[in-house]
Amino acid sequence: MKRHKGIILVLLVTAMLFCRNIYAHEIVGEVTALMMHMQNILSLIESNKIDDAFHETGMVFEDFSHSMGMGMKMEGIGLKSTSDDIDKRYNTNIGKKIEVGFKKRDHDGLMSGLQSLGFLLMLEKFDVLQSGFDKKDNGLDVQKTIFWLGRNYFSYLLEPALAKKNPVEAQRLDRILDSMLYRLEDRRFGEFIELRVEFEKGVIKAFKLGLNPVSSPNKGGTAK
Amino acid sequence: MRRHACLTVLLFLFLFNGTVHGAHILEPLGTETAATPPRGRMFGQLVYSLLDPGNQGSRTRSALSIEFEAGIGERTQLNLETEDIISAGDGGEEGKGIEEISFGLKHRVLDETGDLPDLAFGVDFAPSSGFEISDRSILATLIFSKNINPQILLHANLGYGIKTGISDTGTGAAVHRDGIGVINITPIYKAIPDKLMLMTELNIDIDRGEKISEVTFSPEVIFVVQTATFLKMQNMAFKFAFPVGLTGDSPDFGVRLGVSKLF
Repeated sequence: MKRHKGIILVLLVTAMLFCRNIYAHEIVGEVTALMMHMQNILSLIESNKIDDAFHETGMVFEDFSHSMGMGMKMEGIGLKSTSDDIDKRYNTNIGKKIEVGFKKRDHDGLMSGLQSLGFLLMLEKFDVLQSGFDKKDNGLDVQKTIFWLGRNYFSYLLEPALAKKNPVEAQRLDRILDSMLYRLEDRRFGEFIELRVEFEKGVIKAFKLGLNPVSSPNKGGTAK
Repeated sequence: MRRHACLTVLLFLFLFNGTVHGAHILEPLGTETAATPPRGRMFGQLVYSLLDPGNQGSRTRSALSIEFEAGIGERTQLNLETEDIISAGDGGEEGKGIEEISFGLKHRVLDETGDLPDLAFGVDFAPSSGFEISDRSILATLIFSKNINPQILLHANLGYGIKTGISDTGTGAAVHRDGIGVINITPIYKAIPDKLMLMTELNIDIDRGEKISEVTFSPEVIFVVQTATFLKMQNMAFKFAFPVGLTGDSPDFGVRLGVSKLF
């Protein structure tokens, strides 16, 4: 019995030491106010609460500042400004898609536009990450933080819907993201980029985003 | 010892809190899933069981099991599990204490596609199995997990192993070596995907040496407390199962309560 106690205590301590580097799987770091609103809008559309979805879209279409009570405010850059920036960067038309969906009360178009925006915001973070692969002063912790900020867009905005309609593909894409993280940790950047291409193709196909092609190894993101 | 183990585990669970998520915490109480924890992370689970043997005995048995599964590779995990008998029902000390400690490895060999399941292979070695210090066992298990449709998930295990020990035959000690088998089948309904899962487990444990076949049917519910619900209790899974024995060798009924977290 004493031998058993010793074994268990040693293993528990080892387990605690093993888990020193703890980081999250789903959401790490910042969830912006706009992300929260986008997620709410997508959930409302899926729940068939269309009027509520458009009401919330109207609240954040332009840059916003909402009173939360108790002297607190929720501020953020709106959908229009964010999508305009993304459109300039990636030569896309997401802003128009969201605006048309909103003004014509086309909830499918609005949903597709928001999903595309979430996807491109994720790519933007991955591009920032990749641009630092050649720079030796970018530490692993910084790179992992940027990776998770990008991954958050998938986990928060896209994965829940995909898990409901195609859990096999959601699991596959989630595992690809895990593999990307491992390659990053192992400094195998070429394989990271290959996995990223596979991941992006999977997301575009799963959500029928109508975005053309995916990032290439030499560019920071060429979705159109 | 039990108090120390519980306190250590609870401290562990809350010290290393973080925003976590993982399909792994949705593993049923009595059935293995083919998923493994992500590399560098650990799944921890605490389970309390209370079993009423019915007409097979007069003693209600309660036990506490502690389980850790550590992701040591992209598809591989290392297991540690211990089961401690808290009460053997008669108020005495006989039958109480750590009944089993086991170590194991699980490796996922196949990823699920449209037609194929997730498939994993596991081996567990118990250097201490049962209250006799000489009892040991080794069990190899095939583990399948398959999404039947977006709402229904199926897990199945098929295991075979060997249990060895030394027994007193009256004329001297003798080594006995007997086969053990495990069959688990668990269909799961995803009432709210990743948050509320309803399932029924069919668990079959065969011990040829003891000539016991325990067959239990166990309705179970798993719900996940997520970030939006509580600040501190993020992505912990709470599990409730109500096993019912289907054979004479099985406990009549019982209750199992579990809590799990991915670190």
